[in-house]
Amino acid sequence: MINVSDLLYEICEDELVYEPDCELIESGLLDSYAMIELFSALEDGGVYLQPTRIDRSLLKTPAGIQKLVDDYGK
Amino acid sequence: MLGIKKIAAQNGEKIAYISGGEKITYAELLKKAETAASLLKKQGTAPVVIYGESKTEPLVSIFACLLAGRPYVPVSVSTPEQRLQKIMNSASCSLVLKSGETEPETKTECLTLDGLKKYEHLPEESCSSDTAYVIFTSGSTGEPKGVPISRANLENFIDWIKTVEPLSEYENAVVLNTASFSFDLSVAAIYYSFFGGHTLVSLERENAENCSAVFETMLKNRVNIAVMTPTFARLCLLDRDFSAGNFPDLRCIFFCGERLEKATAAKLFERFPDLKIINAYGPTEATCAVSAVLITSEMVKTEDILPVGRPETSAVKIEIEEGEIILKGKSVFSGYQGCASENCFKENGENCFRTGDLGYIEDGKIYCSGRKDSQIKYKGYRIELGEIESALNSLPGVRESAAAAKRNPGGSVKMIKAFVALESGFDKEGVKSGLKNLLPDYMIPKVIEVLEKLPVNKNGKIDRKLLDEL
Repeated sequence: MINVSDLLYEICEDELVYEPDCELIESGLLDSYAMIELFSALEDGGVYLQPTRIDRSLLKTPAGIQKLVDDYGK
Repeated sequence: MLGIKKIAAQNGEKIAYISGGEKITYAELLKKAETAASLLKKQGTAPVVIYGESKTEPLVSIFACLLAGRPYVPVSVSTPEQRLQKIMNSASCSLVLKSGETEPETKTECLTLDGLKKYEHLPEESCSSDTAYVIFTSGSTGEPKGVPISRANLENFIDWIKTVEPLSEYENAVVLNTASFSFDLSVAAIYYSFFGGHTLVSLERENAENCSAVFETMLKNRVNIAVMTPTFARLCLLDRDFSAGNFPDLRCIFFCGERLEKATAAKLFERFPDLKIINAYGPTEATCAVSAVLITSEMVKTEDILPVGRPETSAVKIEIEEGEIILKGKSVFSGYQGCASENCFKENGENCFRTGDLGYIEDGKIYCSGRKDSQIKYKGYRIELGEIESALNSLPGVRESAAAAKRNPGGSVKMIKAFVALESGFDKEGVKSGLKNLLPDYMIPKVIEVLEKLPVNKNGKIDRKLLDEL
């Protein structure tokens, strides 16, 4: 079970990511570098999210990304 | 001189440029640029800011400035007002040519290409600046630093890039520009494409990090050659659809702007077995790139780090002095805008530049292994940590500050982190929003950590080694 907030904290080092509705993209926390790290870490954890086939609006918040992860493979 | 008209005449009805759903042929580009150039000559002689990257207008503006003999200064719309003003003051700009909806906050005259018609009734002035363009980079003293590139530098760059293998072999190619015009990686795409008679496609800035939009642009326009940073390639590679089966037209990627890691090249070869990967090197001070090498899958297996070129090119001669890469020759600029630097010098009448890049030459290849100072590369942009610290220190409530780069195991920067000691009543949110008024997005530290006071080493200076590890 992947906890997205923990993963985001490792990448972004900002406690804001523990707020489920934190604006990741607008705040600059999830920029292209962080995105690369996040997707790679998820893949290492067995979750392959395909950037062109997911609802990008879900990438805006930790809760959205957690939903993508939880729905993976369903 | 440059030969813009000749190239446009040779390629007439061929599409020169595609951006934001708009296309323009070589003939149309020349016609529009000539009309604008004639009006630019009436408006004045000072450098012109090119602001905004909407549709085909910015490229017309660039060629109009070149034809008019006025230097152009490309500035991103994300540039904060104060920084834009510093840039305009430093370059003594008298006009902003804008495209798109965003209006810069400035007292300097700001017009669209159409708006230049208000000068129709005036006589043309003679403008013949030797400078083709000025790109502003981060400056360690806290001020953006203007790098003027002369027409002779640019001409030499164009002659050089035409000879780079395998770029020299392509005809009627579609070239993708992934960079903002304010980032000199775009210089490679613009001038290689135009002077090679190819078609240039630019990404819309708002979609530049959206894989779906990037892939759509590449597929729709059947892109053959992509000019990008390694980070951009890593972003594309996140998607398994980025492979030869889905992108059969993609033949070559030209990398410049930051270190190409072996893992990125290996993954590209895995997905695109026949792809030609060019790894190029050069600072803004030497017209974007001065050397390049074709990366082979053998190099990925055998080299410790990937080479960036060869020591003798038609652009410059590359030497190593005390571990530092020194560039000498025709592509090297003659000095910063309005400030002297000991890194610029002349030898036998030629411009020379101490890059600050550490490197070595082995088996006739150049390798770049790092920096001798605190300059970093982030998202392809070069950033002086000193400029971030200077911005931090100028904010109310900041007692002392330091900026540090956090790196991934491959050595490339993964984020910028700032450490601040604050007066009571101030917080990091205030610091972050204050920085937004002073620095472009890519320079704003992702993490700001508040400390009681900054750690010092035994010499009483900020302990940067320790901060790098925090």
